[in-house]
Amino acid sequence: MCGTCGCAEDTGVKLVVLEQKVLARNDDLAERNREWLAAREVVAVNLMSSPGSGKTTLLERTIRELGGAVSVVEGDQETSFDADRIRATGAPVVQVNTGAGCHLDADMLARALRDLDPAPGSVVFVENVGNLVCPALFDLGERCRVVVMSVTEGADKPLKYPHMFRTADVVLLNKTDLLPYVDFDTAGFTAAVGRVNAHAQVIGVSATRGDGVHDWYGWLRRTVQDRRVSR
Amino acid sequence: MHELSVAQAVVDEIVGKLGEVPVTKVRLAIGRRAGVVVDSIRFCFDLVTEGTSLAGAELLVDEPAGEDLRIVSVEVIRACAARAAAPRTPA
Repeated sequence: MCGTCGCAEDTGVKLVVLEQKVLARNDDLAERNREWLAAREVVAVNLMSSPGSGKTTLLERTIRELGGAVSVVEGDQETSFDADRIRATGAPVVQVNTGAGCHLDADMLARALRDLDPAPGSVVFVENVGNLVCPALFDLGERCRVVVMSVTEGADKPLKYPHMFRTADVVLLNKTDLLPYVDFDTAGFTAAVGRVNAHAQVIGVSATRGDGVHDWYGWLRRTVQDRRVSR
Repeated sequence: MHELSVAQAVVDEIVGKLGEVPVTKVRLAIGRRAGVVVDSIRFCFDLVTEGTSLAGAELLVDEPAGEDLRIVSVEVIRACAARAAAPRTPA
C-alpha cells in the first residue's frame, strides 16, 4: 500500500542510478564558451595564481608589449582596482566580482564575454580570482591555462597545490628580479612542477623589470597560432 | 571554498534530472585527487539542501583513487500515480 495517500499502489524508496558528473553543467557551459570563442577565432587564456603573485602587473606589461587585439576579464571578490589598471593600458576590460565566490565559473565567463564582445581573432586574458585551490576545478572554456607563481612564495607549492599545477599548460615564475634577496630554490621548483605535470614549461619572468617576458610572449604566440591552426 | 559550489551543483544536477521528487539518500564519488574536501562537502550539503527536495537526505561519499567527481545514485520516495497526478499544493 502507498504510504503517502493509502492507495493500493506499491511505493516506497527507489534507487536511481545517475552516474552523473557533479560539474556537468559547468562543463557544458564551458564547452559552449569554447564554441562561442572558436566561432570568433578568439583565444581565451585562463591566468591563475595565489593573490599577489603579480598577474595584473604581468598583464599590464603583456598588453603593452605583445601587440595585436587583446582584452581582459578580471575576476576578484570585490573592487574594480584591477580593471582600472588594465583600462589604463587601453585594453577593453570587464570586471567580474564574485562576492563570496573563490573562483570564476563558466557561467560568469559567458556573461562577461557577452559584455566584453572581444574582436574576432583577438586574445582574451581571463584573470581568475587569486586562489591556488578552487579555480583549478572549473573549466571556463579557455584554450590554455597559465599558472603564475612568484619567487616570494615557497618552491614546494606545486607539491602542496598539485591540482592547480597539474592543469597548467605553462607555469610563469614571476618576480625573478627578487631572486638575489630571497631564499628560493628555482631548480627545486622546476623539478616540483615536473613531478605533478610533465608537459608544462616553466618560464622565469620579471613583470616589473621585463626579464624573460619575451619567452612568455613567444610561448603565447606559438600557442595562439597552434590552437587556431589545430581547430 | 569551492565545496559550496560543488554541493550546490549536486543539488542542481539532481533536481534537474529528477524534478521535485523527495530524495532520501545521495551517494557521491569524490576521488582522493578530485581537489574536493569531503568534510566541507558534508557541511555545505546540509546548507544548500535546506528547503529543497533533498532536505534531510543522507549523504554517502565513496572516496576512490583518482579525480572522479560524480553523483553515483540517489534514493527517492516513489510517489503513487494518484499523488503524482494530483495538483501540486503549496506545502
